[in-house]
Amino acid sequence: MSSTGLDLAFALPPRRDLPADRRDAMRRLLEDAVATRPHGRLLATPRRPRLRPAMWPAVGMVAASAVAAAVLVVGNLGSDGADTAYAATPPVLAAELAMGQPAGAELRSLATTASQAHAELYTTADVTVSTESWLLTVTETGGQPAEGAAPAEGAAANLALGAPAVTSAVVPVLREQRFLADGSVHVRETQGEARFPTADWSEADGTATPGAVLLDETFPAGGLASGYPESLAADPAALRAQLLAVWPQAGDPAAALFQSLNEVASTRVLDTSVQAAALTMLADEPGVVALGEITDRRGRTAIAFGTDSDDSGLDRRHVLMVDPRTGRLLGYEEVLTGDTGALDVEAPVVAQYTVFL
Amino acid sequence: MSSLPAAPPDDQHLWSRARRGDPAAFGELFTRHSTVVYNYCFRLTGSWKTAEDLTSVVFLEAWRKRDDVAAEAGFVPWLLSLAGRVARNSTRAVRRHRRLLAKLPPAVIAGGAEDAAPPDPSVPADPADPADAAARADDERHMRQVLRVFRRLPKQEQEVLALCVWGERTYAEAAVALGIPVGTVRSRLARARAHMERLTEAATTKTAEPQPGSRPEGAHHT
Repeated sequence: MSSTGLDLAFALPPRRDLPADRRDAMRRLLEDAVATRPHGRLLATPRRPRLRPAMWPAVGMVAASAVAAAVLVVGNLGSDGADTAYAATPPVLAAELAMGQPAGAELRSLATTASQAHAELYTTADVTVSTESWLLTVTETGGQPAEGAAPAEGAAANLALGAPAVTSAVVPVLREQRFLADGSVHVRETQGEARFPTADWSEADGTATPGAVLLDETFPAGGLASGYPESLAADPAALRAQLLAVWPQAGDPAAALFQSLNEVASTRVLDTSVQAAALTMLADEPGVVALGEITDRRGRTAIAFGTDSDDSGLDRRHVLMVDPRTGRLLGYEEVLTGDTGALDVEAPVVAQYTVFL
Repeated sequence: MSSLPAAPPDDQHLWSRARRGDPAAFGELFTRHSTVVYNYCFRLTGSWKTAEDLTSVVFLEAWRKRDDVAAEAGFVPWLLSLAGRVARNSTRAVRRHRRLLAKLPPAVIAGGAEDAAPPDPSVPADPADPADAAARADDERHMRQVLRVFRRLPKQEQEVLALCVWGERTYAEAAVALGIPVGTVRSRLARARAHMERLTEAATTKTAEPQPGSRPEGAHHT
Protein backbone atom coordinates (compact mmCIF):
# COMPACT_ATOMS: atom_id res chain seq x y z
CA MET A 1 0.00 0.00 0.00
CA SER A 2 1.25 3.37 -0.86
CA SER A 3 2.61 5.38 1.99
CA THR A 4 1.01 8.35 0.34
CA GLY A 5 -2.35 6.91 1.16
CA LEU A 6 -3.40 7.29 -2.43
CA ASP A 7 -5.75 4.65 -3.74
CA LEU A 8 -5.14 4.35 -7.41
CA ALA A 9 -8.19 4.03 -9.55
CA PHE A 10 -7.15 0.51 -10.42
CA ALA A 11 -6.63 -2.44 -8.20
CA LEU A 12 -3.15 -3.47 -9.21
CA PRO A 13 -2.19 -7.13 -9.37
CA PRO A 14 -0.86 -8.35 -6.03
CA ARG A 15 2.78 -8.05 -5.18
CA ARG A 16 4.83 -11.11 -5.81
CA ASP A 17 8.21 -12.23 -4.61
CA LEU A 18 10.98 -13.35 -6.86
CA PRO A 19 11.25 -17.12 -6.83
CA ALA A 20 13.66 -17.91 -4.03
CA ASP A 21 16.18 -19.83 -6.08
CA ARG A 22 16.38 -17.09 -8.67
CA ARG A 23 16.60 -14.40 -6.07
CA ASP A 24 19.52 -16.25 -4.52
CA ALA A 25 21.20 -16.64 -7.89
CA MET A 26 20.76 -12.94 -8.57
CA ARG A 27 22.26 -12.04 -5.23
CA ARG A 28 25.27 -14.24 -5.89
CA LEU A 29 25.72 -12.63 -9.28
CA LEU A 30 25.59 -9.15 -7.81
CA GLU A 31 27.98 -10.03 -5.04
CA ASP A 32 30.35 -11.44 -7.62
CA ALA A 33 30.07 -8.21 -9.56
CA VAL A 34 31.14 -6.28 -6.49
CA ALA A 35 33.86 -8.76 -5.58
CA THR A 36 35.42 -8.49 -9.03
CA ARG A 37 35.10 -4.76 -9.23
CA PRO A 38 37.88 -2.76 -10.81
CA HIS A 39 39.70 -1.19 -7.90
CA GLY A 40 40.67 1.80 -9.92
CA ARG A 41 37.27 3.33 -9.20
CA LEU A 42 38.12 3.72 -5.57
CA LEU A 43 40.34 6.72 -5.97
CA ALA A 44 39.37 9.41 -3.58
CA THR A 45 39.48 12.16 -6.15
CA PRO A 46 37.95 12.02 -9.60
CA ARG A 47 40.56 12.43 -12.26
CA ARG A 48 41.06 12.02 -15.94
CA PRO A 49 43.40 9.47 -17.44
CA ARG A 50 46.62 10.86 -18.75
CA LEU A 51 47.34 10.81 -22.41
CA ARG A 52 50.86 10.89 -23.58
CA PRO A 53 52.48 10.65 -27.00
CA ALA A 54 52.94 7.12 -28.18
CA MET A 55 56.38 5.55 -28.34
CA TRP A 56 56.57 1.98 -29.43
CA PRO A 57 60.17 0.91 -29.66
CA ALA A 58 59.90 -2.86 -29.65
CA VAL A 59 61.99 -4.45 -32.37
CA GLY A 60 60.00 -6.31 -34.97
CA MET A 61 56.75 -5.51 -33.29
CA VAL A 62 56.30 -1.97 -34.33
CA ALA A 63 52.95 -1.11 -35.77
CA ALA A 64 53.90 1.82 -37.89
CA SER A 65 50.30 2.72 -38.28
CA ALA A 66 49.69 3.28 -34.63
CA VAL A 67 47.47 6.25 -34.11
CA ALA A 68 47.11 6.53 -30.39
CA ALA A 69 48.20 5.21 -27.06
CA ALA A 70 46.33 5.49 -23.85
CA VAL A 71 47.71 5.23 -20.40
CA LEU A 72 45.59 3.73 -17.74
CA VAL A 73 45.66 5.33 -14.37
CA VAL A 74 44.98 2.94 -11.58
CA GLY A 75 44.48 3.66 -7.98
CA ASN A 76 46.69 2.00 -5.46
CA LEU A 77 44.50 0.55 -2.79
CA GLY A 78 47.32 0.59 -0.35
CA SER A 79 47.42 4.34 -0.42
CA ASP A 80 45.05 7.17 0.15
CA GLY A 81 44.66 7.69 -3.54
CA ALA A 82 47.50 10.12 -3.89
CA ASP A 83 49.71 7.47 -5.42
CA THR A 84 48.74 6.26 -8.81
CA ALA A 85 50.01 3.56 -11.08
CA TYR A 86 50.16 3.79 -14.82
CA ALA A 87 49.38 0.80 -16.95
CA ALA A 88 50.10 0.81 -20.60
CA THR A 89 47.97 -0.23 -23.51
CA PRO A 90 49.08 -0.98 -27.04
CA PRO A 91 48.44 1.61 -29.71
CA VAL A 92 45.25 1.50 -31.68
CA LEU A 93 46.06 0.50 -35.22
CA ALA A 94 45.10 2.69 -38.11
CA ALA A 95 41.94 1.49 -39.83
CA GLU A 96 40.63 -0.13 -36.66
CA LEU A 97 38.43 2.91 -36.14
CA ALA A 98 37.51 3.39 -39.78
CA MET A 99 33.90 4.09 -40.62
CA GLY A 100 33.62 0.81 -42.47
CA GLN A 101 32.14 -0.23 -45.77
CA PRO A 102 29.94 -3.14 -46.79
CA ALA A 103 32.03 -6.23 -46.28
CA GLY A 104 30.17 -8.99 -48.09
CA ALA A 105 31.95 -8.95 -51.43
CA GLU A 106 35.42 -8.68 -49.95
CA LEU A 107 34.80 -11.45 -47.45
CA ARG A 108 33.45 -13.75 -50.13
CA SER A 109 36.48 -13.06 -52.27
CA LEU A 110 38.75 -13.89 -49.35
CA ALA A 111 36.71 -17.02 -48.70
CA THR A 112 37.44 -18.12 -52.25
CA THR A 113 41.10 -17.38 -51.69
CA ALA A 114 41.08 -19.44 -48.50
CA SER A 115 39.34 -22.36 -50.12
CA GLN A 116 41.96 -22.45 -52.86
CA ALA A 117 44.93 -22.18 -50.56
CA HIS A 118 47.22 -25.15 -50.30
CA ALA A 119 45.85 -27.41 -47.64
CA GLU A 120 49.31 -28.39 -46.49
CA LEU A 121 49.80 -24.86 -45.31
CA TYR A 122 47.08 -25.47 -42.80
CA THR A 123 47.15 -29.03 -41.60
CA THR A 124 49.77 -31.61 -40.92
CA ALA A 125 49.90 -34.48 -38.51
CA ASP A 126 52.04 -32.47 -36.15
CA VAL A 127 51.28 -28.78 -36.11
CA THR A 128 51.72 -25.85 -33.83
CA VAL A 129 49.37 -22.96 -33.23
CA SER A 130 51.32 -19.92 -32.14
CA THR A 131 49.87 -16.71 -30.86
CA GLU A 132 50.92 -13.51 -29.23
CA SER A 133 48.22 -12.07 -27.04
CA TRP A 134 47.60 -9.30 -24.62
CA LEU A 135 44.59 -8.41 -22.54
CA LEU A 136 43.78 -5.30 -20.58
CA THR A 137 43.83 -6.67 -17.07
CA VAL A 138 44.79 -4.03 -14.63
CA THR A 139 45.80 -5.65 -11.43
CA GLU A 140 47.01 -4.44 -8.15
CA THR A 141 48.65 -6.30 -5.37
CA GLY A 142 46.27 -9.17 -4.90
CA GLY A 143 43.86 -7.33 -7.11
CA GLN A 144 41.26 -8.27 -9.63
CA PRO A 145 41.25 -7.97 -13.37
CA ALA A 146 39.55 -4.83 -14.51
CA GLU A 147 37.53 -6.52 -17.19
CA GLY A 148 35.97 -9.17 -15.07
CA ALA A 149 36.81 -12.77 -15.62
CA ALA A 150 39.68 -12.09 -17.90
CA PRO A 151 42.49 -14.59 -17.82
CA ALA A 152 45.76 -13.53 -16.39
CA GLU A 153 47.64 -13.92 -19.60
CA GLY A 154 48.97 -10.88 -21.29
CA ALA A 155 48.21 -8.67 -18.38
CA ALA A 156 49.68 -5.26 -18.27
CA ALA A 157 52.80 -5.58 -16.22
CA ASN A 158 51.97 -5.47 -12.58
CA LEU A 159 54.99 -5.18 -10.45
CA ALA A 160 53.29 -3.87 -7.41
CA LEU A 161 54.41 -5.62 -4.32
CA GLY A 162 54.35 -2.42 -2.39
CA ALA A 163 53.18 1.06 -3.04
CA PRO A 164 53.08 2.54 -5.50
CA ALA A 165 52.38 0.11 -8.34
CA VAL A 166 54.03 0.96 -11.63
CA THR A 167 52.59 -0.62 -14.72
CA SER A 168 54.06 1.15 -17.65
CA ALA A 169 54.72 -1.82 -19.92
CA VAL A 170 52.65 -3.91 -22.24
CA VAL A 171 53.78 -7.48 -21.74
CA PRO A 172 52.22 -9.93 -24.17
CA VAL A 173 52.14 -13.66 -23.77
CA LEU A 174 53.54 -15.92 -26.42
CA ARG A 175 51.74 -19.23 -26.63
CA GLU A 176 52.61 -22.31 -28.59
CA GLN A 177 50.13 -25.12 -28.73
CA ARG A 178 51.62 -28.14 -30.43
CA PHE A 179 49.38 -30.97 -31.52
CA LEU A 180 51.28 -34.22 -31.48
CA ALA A 181 50.58 -37.29 -33.54
CA ASP A 182 49.38 -39.29 -30.53
CA GLY A 183 46.65 -36.76 -29.84
CA SER A 184 48.38 -35.11 -26.94
CA VAL A 185 48.88 -31.36 -26.87
CA HIS A 186 51.93 -29.57 -25.63
CA VAL A 187 51.29 -26.03 -24.46
CA ARG A 188 54.05 -23.60 -23.71
CA GLU A 189 53.51 -20.00 -22.72
CA THR A 190 56.27 -17.53 -22.26
CA GLN A 191 56.40 -13.89 -21.39
CA GLY A 192 56.94 -11.64 -24.34
CA GLU A 193 59.11 -8.65 -24.52
CA ALA A 194 57.90 -5.72 -22.48
CA ARG A 195 57.06 -2.69 -24.54
CA PHE A 196 56.65 0.81 -23.29
CA PRO A 197 54.14 2.84 -25.21
CA THR A 198 55.02 6.02 -23.42
CA ALA A 199 58.20 7.80 -22.53
CA ASP A 200 57.27 7.62 -18.88
CA TRP A 201 58.28 4.10 -17.98
CA SER A 202 59.85 2.45 -15.05
CA GLU A 203 62.98 0.35 -15.00
CA ALA A 204 61.18 -1.80 -12.51
CA ASP A 205 59.20 -3.18 -15.41
CA GLY A 206 62.38 -4.81 -16.53
CA THR A 207 61.53 -7.59 -14.12
CA ALA A 208 59.00 -8.72 -16.69
CA THR A 209 61.65 -11.00 -18.12
CA PRO A 210 61.17 -11.87 -21.78
CA GLY A 211 61.13 -15.60 -22.28
CA ALA A 212 60.12 -16.38 -18.74
CA VAL A 213 58.14 -19.60 -18.90
CA LEU A 214 54.61 -19.23 -17.65
CA LEU A 215 53.35 -22.66 -18.64
CA ASP A 216 55.00 -25.74 -20.08
CA GLU A 217 52.80 -28.75 -20.01
CA THR A 218 51.70 -31.66 -22.14
CA PHE A 219 48.07 -32.60 -22.01
CA PRO A 220 46.97 -36.11 -22.95
CA ALA A 221 44.57 -36.63 -25.83
CA GLY A 222 41.27 -35.04 -24.91
CA GLY A 223 42.83 -33.29 -21.93
CA LEU A 224 42.29 -29.80 -23.27
CA ALA A 225 38.59 -29.14 -23.11
CA SER A 226 36.91 -26.82 -25.56
CA GLY A 227 33.42 -25.42 -25.62
CA TYR A 228 33.40 -25.81 -29.37
CA PRO A 229 32.89 -29.05 -31.27
CA GLU A 230 36.03 -30.95 -32.10
CA SER A 231 35.11 -30.88 -35.76
CA LEU A 232 34.05 -27.49 -37.03
CA ALA A 233 31.68 -27.39 -39.96
CA ALA A 234 32.74 -26.34 -43.42
CA ASP A 235 29.22 -25.12 -44.11
CA PRO A 236 28.83 -21.45 -43.14
CA ALA A 237 25.38 -21.82 -41.58
CA ALA A 238 26.36 -24.91 -39.64
CA LEU A 239 29.57 -23.29 -38.50
CA ARG A 240 27.63 -20.26 -37.31
CA ALA A 241 25.34 -22.49 -35.27
CA GLN A 242 28.32 -24.29 -33.74
CA LEU A 243 30.03 -21.06 -32.76
CA LEU A 244 26.94 -19.36 -31.39
CA ALA A 245 26.05 -22.41 -29.33
CA VAL A 246 28.76 -21.26 -26.96
CA TRP A 247 27.15 -17.79 -26.76
CA PRO A 248 23.47 -18.60 -26.24
CA GLN A 249 22.67 -15.18 -24.83
CA ALA A 250 24.53 -13.18 -27.40
CA GLY A 251 22.71 -9.95 -28.14
CA ASP A 252 25.04 -9.21 -31.03
CA PRO A 253 25.65 -12.38 -32.99
CA ALA A 254 28.32 -10.73 -35.13
CA ALA A 255 30.35 -9.76 -32.08
CA ALA A 256 29.91 -13.24 -30.64
CA LEU A 257 31.12 -14.75 -33.90
CA PHE A 258 34.19 -12.53 -33.93
CA GLN A 259 35.04 -13.59 -30.40
CA SER A 260 34.41 -17.24 -31.05
CA LEU A 261 36.63 -17.17 -34.14
CA ASN A 262 39.38 -15.66 -32.01
CA GLU A 263 38.91 -18.43 -29.49
CA VAL A 264 38.99 -21.30 -31.93
CA ALA A 265 41.80 -19.85 -34.02
CA SER A 266 43.84 -19.37 -30.85
CA THR A 267 43.58 -22.96 -29.82
CA ARG A 268 43.39 -25.10 -32.91
CA VAL A 269 44.33 -25.33 -36.53
CA LEU A 270 41.57 -24.20 -38.84
CA ASP A 271 41.76 -25.95 -42.16
CA THR A 272 41.08 -24.20 -45.43
CA SER A 273 37.46 -25.27 -45.61
CA VAL A 274 36.68 -23.92 -42.15
CA GLN A 275 38.55 -20.68 -42.85
CA ALA A 276 36.53 -20.25 -46.02
CA ALA A 277 33.30 -21.08 -44.23
CA ALA A 278 34.10 -18.57 -41.51
CA LEU A 279 34.64 -15.80 -44.03
CA THR A 280 31.48 -16.66 -45.95
CA MET A 281 29.59 -16.78 -42.68
CA LEU A 282 30.78 -13.27 -41.81
CA ALA A 283 29.91 -12.06 -45.31
CA ASP A 284 26.30 -12.95 -44.61
CA GLU A 285 26.27 -11.59 -41.07
CA PRO A 286 24.58 -8.22 -40.50
CA GLY A 287 26.72 -5.64 -38.80
CA VAL A 288 30.07 -6.68 -40.22
CA VAL A 289 31.96 -3.95 -42.04
CA ALA A 290 35.19 -3.81 -44.02
CA LEU A 291 37.72 -1.48 -42.42
CA GLY A 292 40.33 -1.62 -45.16
CA GLU A 293 43.97 -2.54 -45.29
CA ILE A 294 45.86 -2.60 -42.04
CA THR A 295 49.36 -3.36 -40.82
CA ASP A 296 49.21 -5.76 -37.93
CA ARG A 297 51.43 -5.84 -34.87
CA ARG A 298 53.90 -8.04 -36.69
CA GLY A 299 54.16 -5.69 -39.61
CA ARG A 300 52.08 -7.89 -41.89
CA THR A 301 49.56 -6.51 -44.33
CA ALA A 302 46.01 -7.60 -43.61
CA ILE A 303 42.44 -6.74 -44.45
CA ALA A 304 40.49 -5.70 -41.39
CA PHE A 305 36.83 -6.32 -40.69
CA GLY A 306 34.94 -4.98 -37.74
CA THR A 307 31.70 -5.06 -35.85
CA ASP A 308 30.52 -2.81 -33.05
CA SER A 309 28.79 -4.04 -29.94
CA ASP A 310 28.04 -3.10 -26.38
CA ASP A 311 27.25 -6.66 -25.41
CA SER A 312 29.95 -6.65 -22.79
CA GLY A 313 28.60 -3.50 -21.20
CA LEU A 314 31.06 -1.21 -22.93
CA ASP A 315 31.00 0.05 -26.47
CA ARG A 316 33.67 -1.81 -28.30
CA ARG A 317 34.76 -2.63 -31.79
CA HIS A 318 35.75 -6.19 -32.54
CA VAL A 319 38.27 -6.47 -35.34
CA LEU A 320 39.40 -9.49 -37.31
CA MET A 321 42.36 -9.31 -39.66
CA VAL A 322 42.65 -11.58 -42.66
CA ASP A 323 45.66 -12.33 -44.83
CA PRO A 324 44.75 -11.11 -48.34
CA ARG A 325 47.06 -13.72 -49.90
CA THR A 326 45.72 -16.81 -48.15
CA GLY A 327 42.43 -15.87 -46.48
CA ARG A 328 43.90 -16.95 -43.16
CA LEU A 329 43.07 -15.14 -39.94
CA LEU A 330 46.02 -13.06 -38.82
CA GLY A 331 44.68 -11.32 -35.78
CA TYR A 332 41.84 -10.27 -33.55
CA GLU A 333 41.52 -7.12 -31.49
CA GLU A 334 39.02 -5.31 -29.33
CA VAL A 335 38.97 -1.56 -29.10
CA LEU A 336 36.89 0.33 -26.56
CA THR A 337 35.25 3.11 -28.48
CA GLY A 338 32.86 4.86 -26.15
CA ASP A 339 32.17 5.01 -22.46
CA THR A 340 34.93 3.03 -20.85
CA GLY A 341 32.94 2.49 -17.70
CA ALA A 342 34.98 1.53 -14.70
CA LEU A 343 38.17 1.11 -16.63
CA ASP A 344 39.17 4.73 -16.45
CA VAL A 345 40.84 4.71 -19.80
CA GLU A 346 40.08 7.18 -22.47
CA ALA A 347 38.64 5.76 -25.63
CA PRO A 348 39.68 4.73 -28.12
CA VAL A 349 41.87 2.19 -26.42
CA VAL A 350 42.88 -1.37 -27.20
CA ALA A 351 41.48 -3.77 -24.65
CA GLN A 352 42.74 -7.00 -26.14
CA TYR A 353 44.67 -8.35 -29.06
CA THR A 354 45.70 -11.69 -30.47
CA VAL A 355 48.21 -12.13 -33.23
CA PHE A 356 48.02 -15.48 -35.01
CA LEU A 357 51.62 -16.23 -35.90
CA MET B 1 20.40 -4.48 32.55
CA SER B 2 18.92 -5.33 29.23
CA SER B 3 20.30 -4.12 25.98
CA LEU B 4 18.45 -3.52 22.80
CA PRO B 5 19.50 -5.57 19.82
CA ALA B 6 21.66 -3.66 17.40
CA ALA B 7 19.62 -1.96 14.73
CA PRO B 8 20.26 -3.25 11.25
CA PRO B 9 22.42 -0.97 9.18
CA ASP B 10 20.46 1.51 7.14
CA ASP B 11 20.55 1.58 3.37
CA GLN B 12 23.05 4.38 3.17
CA HIS B 13 25.43 2.57 5.43
CA LEU B 14 25.12 -0.58 3.37
CA TRP B 15 25.50 1.36 0.15
CA SER B 16 28.61 3.03 1.46
CA ARG B 17 30.06 -0.35 2.36
CA ALA B 18 29.06 -1.78 -1.00
CA ARG B 19 30.73 1.05 -2.87
CA ARG B 20 33.91 0.33 -0.97
CA GLY B 21 33.75 -3.20 -2.29
CA ASP B 22 31.77 -5.15 0.28
CA PRO B 23 29.85 -7.78 -1.69
CA ALA B 24 27.71 -8.82 1.27
CA ALA B 25 26.52 -5.25 1.75
CA PHE B 26 25.37 -5.05 -1.85
CA GLY B 27 23.79 -8.46 -1.52
CA GLU B 28 21.89 -7.31 1.54
CA LEU B 29 20.61 -4.26 -0.32
CA PHE B 30 19.40 -6.56 -3.06
CA THR B 31 17.63 -8.82 -0.59
CA ARG B 32 15.98 -5.85 1.05
CA HIS B 33 14.74 -4.15 -2.05
CA SER B 34 14.51 -6.72 -4.82
CA THR B 35 10.80 -7.25 -4.23
CA VAL B 36 10.03 -3.56 -4.56
CA VAL B 37 12.10 -3.32 -7.71
CA TYR B 38 10.64 -6.54 -9.11
CA ASN B 39 7.06 -5.41 -8.65
CA TYR B 40 7.87 -1.93 -9.89
CA CYS B 41 9.39 -3.38 -13.05
CA PHE B 42 6.34 -5.56 -13.50
CA ARG B 43 4.06 -2.58 -13.18
CA LEU B 44 6.10 -0.69 -15.74
CA THR B 45 6.24 -3.53 -18.24
CA GLY B 46 3.24 -5.76 -17.59
CA SER B 47 5.41 -8.89 -17.75
CA TRP B 48 6.67 -10.94 -14.84
CA LYS B 49 9.39 -12.49 -16.94
CA THR B 50 10.64 -9.13 -18.13
CA ALA B 51 10.43 -7.81 -14.60
CA GLU B 52 12.56 -10.67 -13.37
CA ASP B 53 15.25 -9.93 -15.94
CA LEU B 54 15.07 -6.21 -15.35
CA THR B 55 15.41 -6.58 -11.61
CA SER B 56 18.89 -8.00 -12.09
CA VAL B 57 19.66 -5.29 -14.61
CA VAL B 58 18.53 -2.51 -12.28
CA PHE B 59 20.93 -3.66 -9.58
CA LEU B 60 23.74 -4.14 -12.08
CA GLU B 61 23.07 -0.63 -13.30
CA ALA B 62 23.14 0.58 -9.71
CA TRP B 63 26.56 -0.95 -9.32
CA ARG B 64 27.71 0.53 -12.61
CA LYS B 65 26.50 3.95 -11.56
CA ARG B 66 27.76 3.69 -8.01
CA ASP B 67 29.40 7.08 -8.22
CA ASP B 68 26.06 8.76 -8.82
CA VAL B 69 25.54 11.08 -5.92
CA ALA B 70 21.78 10.88 -6.36
CA ALA B 71 21.86 7.54 -4.59
CA GLU B 72 22.87 9.29 -1.41
CA ALA B 73 19.62 11.25 -1.34
CA GLY B 74 17.56 8.10 -1.14
CA PHE B 75 18.66 4.67 -2.20
CA VAL B 76 15.30 3.12 -3.08
CA PRO B 77 13.92 6.13 -5.00
CA TRP B 78 17.18 6.20 -6.89
CA LEU B 79 16.86 2.48 -7.63
CA LEU B 80 13.35 3.05 -8.91
CA SER B 81 14.45 5.90 -11.10
CA LEU B 82 17.07 3.54 -12.55
CA ALA B 83 14.31 0.98 -13.03
CA GLY B 84 12.28 3.51 -14.96
CA ARG B 85 15.18 4.20 -17.28
CA VAL B 86 15.97 0.52 -17.64
CA ALA B 87 12.35 -0.28 -18.45
CA ARG B 88 12.27 2.44 -21.10
CA ASN B 89 15.50 1.25 -22.68
CA SER B 90 15.33 -2.38 -21.74
CA THR B 91 16.96 -3.73 -24.87
CA ARG B 92 20.05 -1.65 -24.45
CA ALA B 93 20.18 -2.14 -20.71
CA VAL B 94 19.88 -5.90 -20.93
CA ARG B 95 22.47 -6.03 -23.68
CA ARG B 96 24.86 -3.99 -21.60
CA HIS B 97 24.89 -6.70 -18.97
CA ARG B 98 24.17 -9.67 -21.17
CA ARG B 99 27.42 -11.39 -20.42
CA LEU B 100 26.88 -11.19 -16.69
CA LEU B 101 23.22 -12.12 -16.94
CA ALA B 102 24.19 -15.21 -18.86
CA LYS B 103 25.75 -16.50 -15.66
CA LEU B 104 22.34 -16.75 -14.06
CA PRO B 105 20.48 -20.05 -14.25
CA PRO B 106 18.90 -20.34 -17.67
CA ALA B 107 15.38 -20.13 -16.30
CA VAL B 108 15.95 -16.59 -15.16
CA ILE B 109 16.78 -15.38 -18.60
CA ALA B 110 14.76 -17.80 -20.63
CA GLY B 111 11.44 -17.09 -19.05
CA GLY B 112 8.50 -19.18 -20.12
CA ALA B 113 6.75 -21.49 -17.75
CA GLU B 114 8.70 -20.25 -14.78
CA ASP B 115 6.70 -17.05 -15.00
CA ALA B 116 4.00 -18.94 -13.26
CA ALA B 117 3.16 -17.87 -9.74
CA PRO B 118 0.89 -19.28 -7.08
CA PRO B 119 -2.37 -17.62 -6.17
CA ASP B 120 -0.81 -16.66 -2.87
CA PRO B 121 2.04 -14.39 -3.84
CA SER B 122 3.91 -15.15 -0.64
CA VAL B 123 4.29 -18.77 -1.65
CA PRO B 124 7.16 -19.50 -4.02
CA ALA B 125 6.10 -20.19 -7.55
CA ASP B 126 5.86 -23.69 -8.84
CA PRO B 127 6.73 -23.50 -12.51
CA ALA B 128 4.91 -26.74 -13.18
CA ASP B 129 1.61 -25.54 -11.74
CA PRO B 130 -0.74 -24.44 -14.52
CA ALA B 131 -2.83 -22.50 -12.02
CA ASP B 132 0.22 -20.38 -11.22
CA ALA B 133 0.79 -19.71 -14.86
CA ALA B 134 -2.83 -18.73 -15.27
CA ALA B 135 -2.68 -16.39 -12.30
CA ARG B 136 0.38 -14.68 -13.65
CA ALA B 137 -1.10 -14.44 -17.10
CA ASP B 138 -4.15 -12.82 -15.56
CA ASP B 139 -1.91 -10.36 -13.72
CA GLU B 140 -0.23 -9.50 -16.96
CA ARG B 141 -3.45 -8.97 -18.88
CA HIS B 142 -4.69 -6.76 -16.11
CA MET B 143 -1.49 -4.75 -15.88
CA ARG B 144 -1.32 -4.22 -19.60
CA GLN B 145 -4.80 -2.76 -19.48
CA VAL B 146 -3.66 -0.36 -16.79
CA LEU B 147 -0.58 0.50 -18.79
CA ARG B 148 -2.61 1.30 -21.87
CA VAL B 149 -4.24 4.09 -19.95
CA PHE B 150 -1.18 5.05 -17.95
CA ARG B 151 0.89 5.64 -21.07
CA ARG B 152 -1.57 8.23 -22.26
CA LEU B 153 -0.77 10.43 -19.29
CA PRO B 154 1.68 13.29 -19.64
CA LYS B 155 5.20 12.08 -18.86
CA GLN B 156 5.47 14.19 -15.70
CA GLU B 157 2.29 12.65 -14.33
CA GLN B 158 3.50 9.18 -15.25
CA GLU B 159 6.69 9.73 -13.26
CA VAL B 160 4.90 10.84 -10.14
CA LEU B 161 2.22 8.21 -10.33
CA ALA B 162 4.71 5.44 -10.91
CA LEU B 163 7.00 6.44 -8.09
CA CYS B 164 4.34 7.24 -5.49
CA VAL B 165 1.85 4.52 -6.24
CA TRP B 166 3.58 1.73 -8.09
CA GLY B 167 6.90 2.29 -6.35
CA GLU B 168 5.21 2.96 -3.00
CA ARG B 169 7.32 6.01 -2.26
CA THR B 170 6.30 8.95 -0.12
CA TYR B 171 5.74 12.41 -1.54
CA ALA B 172 9.03 13.48 -0.03
CA GLU B 173 10.95 10.60 -1.55
CA ALA B 174 9.40 11.19 -4.94
CA ALA B 175 10.21 14.89 -4.68
CA VAL B 176 13.87 14.13 -4.06
CA ALA B 177 14.05 11.53 -6.79
CA LEU B 178 12.40 13.78 -9.35
CA GLY B 179 14.01 16.99 -8.19
CA ILE B 180 10.74 18.82 -7.71
CA PRO B 181 9.02 20.34 -4.65
CA VAL B 182 6.77 18.15 -2.53
CA GLY B 183 3.82 20.36 -3.37
CA THR B 184 4.39 19.75 -7.04
CA VAL B 185 4.43 16.01 -6.41
CA ARG B 186 1.11 16.29 -4.64
CA SER B 187 -0.53 18.38 -7.35
CA ARG B 188 0.79 16.27 -10.20
CA LEU B 189 -0.40 13.16 -8.45
CA ALA B 190 -3.88 14.60 -8.02
CA ARG B 191 -3.96 15.52 -11.68
CA ALA B 192 -2.66 12.13 -12.67
CA ARG B 193 -5.36 10.36 -10.71
CA ALA B 194 -8.12 12.50 -12.17
CA HIS B 195 -6.61 12.03 -15.59
CA MET B 196 -6.49 8.27 -15.14
CA GLU B 197 -10.09 8.13 -14.06
CA ARG B 198 -11.26 10.11 -17.07
CA LEU B 199 -9.21 8.03 -19.46
CA THR B 200 -10.42 4.86 -17.82
CA GLU B 201 -14.04 5.86 -18.12
CA ALA B 202 -13.52 6.63 -21.76
CA ALA B 203 -11.79 3.32 -22.28
CA THR B 204 -14.51 1.44 -20.48
CA THR B 205 -17.15 3.08 -22.59
CA LYS B 206 -15.37 2.09 -25.75
CA THR B 207 -14.59 -1.43 -24.65
CA ALA B 208 -16.56 -4.23 -26.11
CA GLU B 209 -18.58 -6.36 -23.79
CA PRO B 210 -16.33 -8.07 -21.31
CA GLN B 211 -15.71 -11.76 -21.41
CA PRO B 212 -17.50 -13.70 -18.70
CA GLY B 213 -15.33 -14.02 -15.65
CA SER B 214 -12.77 -11.52 -16.83
CA ARG B 215 -12.05 -8.03 -15.70
CA PRO B 216 -13.46 -5.34 -17.98
CA GLU B 217 -10.75 -3.26 -19.54
CA GLY B 218 -9.87 -0.29 -17.45
CA ALA B 219 -12.06 -1.48 -14.61
CA HIS B 220 -11.88 0.67 -11.55
CA HIS B 221 -13.58 1.02 -8.29
CA THR B 222 -14.74 4.16 -6.61
